[in-house]
Amino acid sequence: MSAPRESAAAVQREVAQLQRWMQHVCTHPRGVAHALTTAESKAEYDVTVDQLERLVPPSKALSGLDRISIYAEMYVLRLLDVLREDFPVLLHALGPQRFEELARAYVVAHPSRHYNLNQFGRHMSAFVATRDDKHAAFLAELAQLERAATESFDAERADALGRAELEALRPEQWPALALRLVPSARVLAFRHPVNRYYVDVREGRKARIPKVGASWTLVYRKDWIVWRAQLSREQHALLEALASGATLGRALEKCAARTELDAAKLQQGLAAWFREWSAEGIFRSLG
Amino acid sequence: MTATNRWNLPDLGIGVALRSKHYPHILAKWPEVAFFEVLSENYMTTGGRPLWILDQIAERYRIVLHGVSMGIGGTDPIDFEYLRELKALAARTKAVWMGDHVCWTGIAGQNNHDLWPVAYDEPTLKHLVERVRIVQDFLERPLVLENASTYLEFAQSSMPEEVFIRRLADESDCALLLDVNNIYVSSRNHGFDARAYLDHVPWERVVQVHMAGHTDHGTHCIDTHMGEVRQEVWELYAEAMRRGGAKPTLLEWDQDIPDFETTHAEALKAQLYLPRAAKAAS
Repeated sequence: MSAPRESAAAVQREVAQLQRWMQHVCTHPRGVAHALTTAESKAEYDVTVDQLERLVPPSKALSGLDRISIYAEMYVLRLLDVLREDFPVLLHALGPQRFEELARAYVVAHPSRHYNLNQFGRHMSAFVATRDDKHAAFLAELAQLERAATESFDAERADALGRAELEALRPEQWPALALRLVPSARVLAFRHPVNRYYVDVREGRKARIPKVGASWTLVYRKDWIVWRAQLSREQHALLEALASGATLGRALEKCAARTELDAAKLQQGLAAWFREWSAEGIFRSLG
Repeated sequence: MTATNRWNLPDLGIGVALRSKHYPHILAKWPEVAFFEVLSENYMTTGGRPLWILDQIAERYRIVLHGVSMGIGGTDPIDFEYLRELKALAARTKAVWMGDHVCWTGIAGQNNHDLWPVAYDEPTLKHLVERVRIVQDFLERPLVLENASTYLEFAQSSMPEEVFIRRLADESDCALLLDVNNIYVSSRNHGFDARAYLDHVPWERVVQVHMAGHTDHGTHCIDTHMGEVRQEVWELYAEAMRRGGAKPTLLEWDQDIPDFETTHAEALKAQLYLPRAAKAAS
């Protein structure tokens, strides 16, 4: 029984060698010709650019290098398109050239590892934060907001807590109530007014990279459309506590313990906030 | 309509690849369409609007699933989580069949989101046959594999693509999706005779045909799925249908996608090229 297994393993090694080589040379940021000079390429097949046609023969019209370069070019262009589509406001903020530089660097640092391309941009915010750019902190937050919208779009469906369900609750039930956010909801805190910049760009207004200024945003999906809502500091604190699993009573205690929050604002706003949030469907049904 | 394949899978007629641009038209008009082909990965690991729309479409139309990320020719371990998702999507949409391409898509955990060519040699054939068998066992149905467009050949290949695919199908007992545009594109890129390619097609295994536009760069052609199907590809289609009998045929249009009626009308041109008897039946 062991012989066929060894044979299968040998077959796989042989097939894998060609695939490792092709992936290396087609995804190298400096192109196929340069990739052929690298140790990784030579470890698989020790061919120079002049010897490439030993592996990839020419056609009547194209050299072996031309032919394999078709795959290399399509590889990066496809992924750049995905990033442009997922981060249109980041693209606006950077301009096409700087965005492309960023995106090409991202493709190298974080090659796709999932079949759903919507997951490709998930490291962008952290990646932008490490870039040598005086606005890196703002740009990272902008990427975080755009990424949250992509995640919200794809999130699992869940029945939302409706107004009737909310109003049916007796007052004594409220403190122990464990309200959970629907999977599409994202509660975000920023050091810059990111959502305001985002809205300005999307609505065609002139937008400058803003100065530091705390802001809080709720991203959620309603009727299959992704929305963003500006939050106050108090609203954010409450939703963040609920999202972490606290009961409503515990969430309010947590908020009360935070001296930077306006206790009166919190108490006065509570009923209206919950009406609004339940109308927007951001809590899971209790059923 | 009569099945013309060894699994008695039905002849679905002439269909269109489902694309998001057409959602509003389909949901508003519920046009008469024989079947829709769905790009599997667009509806896997998502709970958003596309899946909600697909659920509605699958209630009214026959669906087939067509993937681009199975990587059946790859050498990473088979991704059973992917296959579980795919199987669940097939059950959800009551898919008549599901398939992917004769290609690989990445190695060492990477997904290059493209259909990269395999070498047409004995080791690769053996490797693919083994993997197709495993996948079919898991999916509990024949896998429908498509010939991809290719832009290079490997010197180590020891047989032509059509022989490789025929042997793959025979030895793994899989079904085939014959992409006529891909045959044409590859024939131009590699300088082989597209009609001679048809000599090797195991017609009893072909359950579906793809048609699409391509971009001719003079030195080579790229399978862009853009524009109308070129006349020479329709002629090759007519020849294929004459040899193999009418097969379910689907149009793919993925760049500069026109309105639904234009797309569907382009697909229905296939009727003009079907063998006479099948034309009368359709």
